[in-house]
Amino acid sequence: MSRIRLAMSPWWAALVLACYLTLPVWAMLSHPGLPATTNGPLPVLKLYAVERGAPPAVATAGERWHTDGVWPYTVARMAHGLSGDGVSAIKISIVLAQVLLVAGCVGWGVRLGGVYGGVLAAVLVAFAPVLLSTLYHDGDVALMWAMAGLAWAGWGIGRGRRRDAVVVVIALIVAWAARPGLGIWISLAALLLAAFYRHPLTLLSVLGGSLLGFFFAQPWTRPVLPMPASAGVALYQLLEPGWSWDVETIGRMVPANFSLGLPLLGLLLVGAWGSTSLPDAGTRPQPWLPHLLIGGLLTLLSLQAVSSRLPFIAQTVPPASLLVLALPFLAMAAVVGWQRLMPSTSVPVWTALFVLSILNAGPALSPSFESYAIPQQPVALFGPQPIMLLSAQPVSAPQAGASFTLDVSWVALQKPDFDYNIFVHVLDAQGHKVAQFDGQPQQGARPMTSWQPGEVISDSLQVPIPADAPQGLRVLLGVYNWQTGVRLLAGDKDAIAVSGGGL
Amino acid sequence: MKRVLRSPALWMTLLLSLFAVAPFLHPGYFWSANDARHDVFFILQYNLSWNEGVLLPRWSPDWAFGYGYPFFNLVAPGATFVGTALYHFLPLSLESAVKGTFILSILLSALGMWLFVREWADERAAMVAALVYVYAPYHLLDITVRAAMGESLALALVPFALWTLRRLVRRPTPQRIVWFALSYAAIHLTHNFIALLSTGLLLAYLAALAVAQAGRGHALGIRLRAGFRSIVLGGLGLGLGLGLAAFFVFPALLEFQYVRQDQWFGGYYDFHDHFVYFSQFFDPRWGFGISVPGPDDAISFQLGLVALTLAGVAVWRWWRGQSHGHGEPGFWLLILVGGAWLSTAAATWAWDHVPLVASAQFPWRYLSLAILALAVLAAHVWTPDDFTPPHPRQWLAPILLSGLVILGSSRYVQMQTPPAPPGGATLAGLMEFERSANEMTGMTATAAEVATWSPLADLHMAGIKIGNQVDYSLVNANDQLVVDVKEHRIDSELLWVRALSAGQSVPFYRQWFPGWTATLLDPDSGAEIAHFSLGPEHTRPPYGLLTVPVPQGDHLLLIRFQNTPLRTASNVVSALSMAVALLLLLAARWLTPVIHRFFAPISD
Repeated sequence: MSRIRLAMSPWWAALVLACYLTLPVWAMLSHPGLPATTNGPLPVLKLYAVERGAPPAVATAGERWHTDGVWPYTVARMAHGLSGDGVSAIKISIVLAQVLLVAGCVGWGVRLGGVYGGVLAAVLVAFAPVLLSTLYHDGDVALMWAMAGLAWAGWGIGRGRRRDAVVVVIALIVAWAARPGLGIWISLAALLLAAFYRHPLTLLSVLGGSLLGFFFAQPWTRPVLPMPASAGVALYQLLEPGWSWDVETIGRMVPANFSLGLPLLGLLLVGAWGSTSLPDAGTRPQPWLPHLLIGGLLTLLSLQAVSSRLPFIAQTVPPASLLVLALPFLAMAAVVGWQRLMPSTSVPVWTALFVLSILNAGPALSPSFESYAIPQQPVALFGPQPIMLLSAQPVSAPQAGASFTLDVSWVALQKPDFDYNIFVHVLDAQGHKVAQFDGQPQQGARPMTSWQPGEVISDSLQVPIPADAPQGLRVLLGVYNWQTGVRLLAGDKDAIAVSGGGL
Repeated sequence: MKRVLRSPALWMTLLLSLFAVAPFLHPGYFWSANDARHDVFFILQYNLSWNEGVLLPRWSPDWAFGYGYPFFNLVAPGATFVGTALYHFLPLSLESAVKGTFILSILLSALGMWLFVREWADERAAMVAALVYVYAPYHLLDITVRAAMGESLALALVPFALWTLRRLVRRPTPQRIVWFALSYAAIHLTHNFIALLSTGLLLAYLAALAVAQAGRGHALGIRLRAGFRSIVLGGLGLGLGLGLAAFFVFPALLEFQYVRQDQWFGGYYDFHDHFVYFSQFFDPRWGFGISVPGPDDAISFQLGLVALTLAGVAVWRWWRGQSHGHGEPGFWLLILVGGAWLSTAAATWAWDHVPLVASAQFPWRYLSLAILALAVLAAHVWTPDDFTPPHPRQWLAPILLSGLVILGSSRYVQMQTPPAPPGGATLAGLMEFERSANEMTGMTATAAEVATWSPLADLHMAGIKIGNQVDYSLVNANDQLVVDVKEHRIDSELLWVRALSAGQSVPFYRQWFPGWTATLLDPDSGAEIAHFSLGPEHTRPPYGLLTVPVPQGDHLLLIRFQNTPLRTASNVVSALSMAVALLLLLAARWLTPVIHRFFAPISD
């Protein structure tokens, strides 16, 4: 009987429905391969780094606020330990984060707007283009986990019970352990929300969770590094319903996917009307207002016009991340507002609202996937805007009179700003150049400015070696600016050595 | 029926289905769709037989570059029959006849699903269910991408069968037995695989109805009797339906062994390469290509996000005890899961070992079951409480959801209409198509090789009407044989033959298949001298073409494609079933009390 009662509890029932309705979001991850995101194979490489005992960073030694925490990769590591490959492990980590995010939103929403309100809130969050962009465009595992932490914290904050305080503490630790920079903002948002409810225990749990999270994440152990400029969100991008998988096309910047979703914006407007125009509006405190204010504030801070004037934002998080954090607050405000306006909404109308929110996702639910071998760590990183040499495998040892072939795969971690050349030099024992290849990737078919961040570019570099070449040949591989001749550095070297049997 | 026709919801449903019809009103023809060229040539071939007075042909003369193939003996001819009727009786081109058949299938889909759901739910719920069915992505894929004429029409008929079965079981009358039998027979005559699928579905639904009926009594004996009566009633209808379609069903089943199987199930058609990946059920991408191995097919196998949402809410409500219809949502949930499961690699074992499962050819064909179940489940979003008390505002949700159903599939309601390929909808076009696509070159079991061209194809390309199908290249090379064709028809040939020595044979450009017979007649009196069936021994390699032996002397030789004993027996069964059906209809007044005595009506 207890199991039946559990099954019929509003949260449980709403969770079942919300998990089913949000299935299309994570079901895509069952596609073979890794989502073709701007992070490319980075999540898997970070997992391998964590498994080696190193911090989850590939391109740098780690940065105080921006570097991922270990939590997303610890979860993946557990999955990796059970079975499967690194790619599957990362996918499992993402799915878990997604399910927990939905569960948290359901709990938060059920408390504010009943069973259907909770489901609607979860659906609005899960299918918001800006969140789908985080998942399938950026491949940001840490942000997904931070969002899960935020959702559970939001759920726990409103009730002021002891077990809810524990939930808040754990949720905030998870948020900090996902990425410290996000932890700061989630803690601030949680504090604001807790201030509205005025439960001492809740306030205490937020403060305690934030402190514990801070000590768990240990951001002080990493240096503050200059991070690549990250623009905020333009106002029009909030409203633009389009979707693009590209980062940039030739000669034209394609806007990123920063839309909150038209259904959410529409419901917010309707909810605002409902919460302000009804006769009893203003006579009692409404949870609608703090959620709207916190969500609105985070949205405001994510805007380019604001974040560019407040440098501490970009020092802690990419400003656009704040928009993602605003999402659950705005979804809750929308649900509360709707509930006030239409308290006796029938199930079919709720269903129509679910459908509307899901349909809004549109092409964002059709990510591309790539399958390629991911080594334990990349071979080298060239240049300050790192161009990652993911793998380099000679087909055979360099021999006189034969053609030497080197199979390579590259990943640009940021959009290259120049069409660098690749060189392969075959040297004799004395270091004299015997043969060489200099040219653009894929014989000019894919110059580097056409590379998308995260895209894996495979190439086969061929160097004909003269018949009179001596024995004991060695090979160097590097990247250089063909206009100036300046080579991009890989660490402290301007080329990496390729031996006959490997690197 | 008058009440049904007066329902604004029905007319609204049909009107809202017109968006799916719209692509067919576009000028041009969807030549690049998977089977669009097949459809045109099906009607072209069928019409040739009609022109010779054969309404239900079994032999098609021009497949396999003119060697012929017993196509309509093996493949259900219903949709082609409808298309040919449109072509024959209306001023339509072949392409427009195909389009007309698709339009009919769309409207019938809406009507059938509406009637079925209306039987047990509110008409607003029926409207949404019907639109979910019409706009289900797999349904639209069948229509605009695959151009699967037979499958589309058969899918439209399945809800009619469910509707008539339900009515029969709950309130039996002689007429209802006939209506159910007719709808079941119509499916058999429209698409082989959907007929098989719907047989399983109808049996399962009958069992579910029987269980539901059994649940209405108090004493165990009454309950068992009620369930048993339902089974008997449904069985009567199924049996009569099968009998009505027997003239096609049994020859198709039992004579399929006489054609080359590898062309139906081998190579590209290996089902192992066409399983649906789980992610594809949800992927809203659309495409106009074909199914390929792996998860990145150039066509979509999505179930439809709107339909999945509606079905999910309905099942959830049922699970929470809010739904009407008792266990019915559970039944359709099982059908949904079963259909989806059979289309994935998780069902490989079933495909490899369970008889008849692999007859689907492509695993994703089981999505037909899934969309049917999704549409029915969508109606369960409503419960009776949602409509009490009646209020005009209760139209808001159905209209809103209907709009969202259409909106959700609006990107898929489109068609590509490239210019006609060489030859267009002519016999020359058929030859070009067979040569370029290696399609419709079906060979019978005696063919060691698949034809890649023929002398008859040359004639078709030159626009010359085929006057005979005698292989004169062999006849002219034989100085012991003289042949003069007297009469040439699609399924027969009458020749005057002079064999100057014993052991001569007349070679034809016709493929062998059971049913071909030869009759030797006296050239002067016309009296029959000999009559024999042509078997595999009367063929010549490599294509297994007919070679008919003739004795020395002058003769008239008549070869004909006739009924085998199996076909004759099947025809008799169909005729008897037709008589029973007529009897049930004509004597309904007297038979109804008898039926009610044994099968008491159940009140809703």
